[in-house]
Amino acid sequence: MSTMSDKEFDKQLRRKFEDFEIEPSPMVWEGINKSLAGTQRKPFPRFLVAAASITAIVAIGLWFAPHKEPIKLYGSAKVPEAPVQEKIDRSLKAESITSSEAEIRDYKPVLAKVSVKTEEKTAKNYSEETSAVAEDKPLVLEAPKVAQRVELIEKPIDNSPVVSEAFFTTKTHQDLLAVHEGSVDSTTDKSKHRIKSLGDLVNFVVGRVDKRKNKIIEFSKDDEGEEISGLNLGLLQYKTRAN
Amino acid sequence: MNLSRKLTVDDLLAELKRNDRRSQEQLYKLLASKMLGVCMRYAKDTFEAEDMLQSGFVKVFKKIGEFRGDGSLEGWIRRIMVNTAIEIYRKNQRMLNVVEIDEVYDAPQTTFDLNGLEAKDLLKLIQQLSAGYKLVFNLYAIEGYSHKEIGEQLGITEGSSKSQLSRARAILKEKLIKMEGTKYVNHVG
Repeated sequence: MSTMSDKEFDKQLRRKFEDFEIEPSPMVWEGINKSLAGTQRKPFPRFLVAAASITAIVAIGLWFAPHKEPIKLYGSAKVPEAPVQEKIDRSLKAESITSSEAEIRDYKPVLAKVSVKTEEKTAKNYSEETSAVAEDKPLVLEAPKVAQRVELIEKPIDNSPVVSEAFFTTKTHQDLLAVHEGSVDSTTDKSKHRIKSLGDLVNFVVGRVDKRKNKIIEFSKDDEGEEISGLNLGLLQYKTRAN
Repeated sequence: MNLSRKLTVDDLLAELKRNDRRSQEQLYKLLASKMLGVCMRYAKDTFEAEDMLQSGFVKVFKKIGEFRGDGSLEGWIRRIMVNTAIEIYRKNQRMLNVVEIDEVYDAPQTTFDLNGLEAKDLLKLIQQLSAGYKLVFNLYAIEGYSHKEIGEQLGITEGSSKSQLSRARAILKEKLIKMEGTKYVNHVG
């Protein structure tokens, strides 16, 4: 046996493997196919993730929002009040344009409902300050009727803290009404839209853009701060109370 | 035969870059057996080799956009297979942290008639080598890497690469002698 260089040894081995082939099992291609399919499907989840996150945000919103159940009481307390507001608005316009006696009388009883039902004091204050509007006879005559109605509503919810809140809101409306009566002015309307917080700002901007009754998003304030009180995403609508 | 294959493989390139599934399958059919032949030398058995082949081809299809056509596509794919083998070796080294000790023989400098041997038989011998020796031997003797390149790839010194190569060679020669012996015995018997 003669010696053989390492180089020669390597060369011979290399040659041996030059055309060396082994048929792989079909499992290999299946595996490749699977991993390629996995990577090609990647673009899809982006859409799913977006949809899922929107759903999550809405779900979180709904989860945190309805924690105040007594809010329903607002609804019942406010029922007689809503038409008052509307009517007054109309009365203001009517007054400024026509100032016809008949029309004003139509509204006065309604005004009386508010001014008499809670505190006579404020009614008096404003009656002193302003004109004789509050002392008008139809107002006084109508008062007991309204007081009764309000009592009916108030009785079952006497002890709840929300009720006292309801009182305050009616009181402020009453104040506003008195101002309306005294000097036919639109300043109260403006003060209603004064922007004091982020929620107000959002409401203002949304109000400008979204002319629907139920805005896409609406904030409201209470003792605990601001919260989303209304949401209108087409099919999905949510509202804490009638605004 | 070889020429027609090369042409076909390179013809597929444009479609491969568009991730066309049919041309991917065609490429696989053309080269899978040959590439498994490469992987087998780096693996300890067929299962490991097929795993290597699978992840190698997945890499090929994913990185085909990076192929600039400097050499042949087949050569590029072969390098990816070898790199996959190196990666698997590194991974195993980290996981097992094995210090391999092979018996080293001072093999006599004899002539081997490798022509009489089948590649399959040689493959068995190579597969029996410990992972480190097998890798260094394959990279140097068959792939044609330099010791410097091997050192960089495996994170070892050039000297270590050299000594591992000579040990691997010695072991192979020893085994060849044994095999020749049994063959002879079988012939006689």
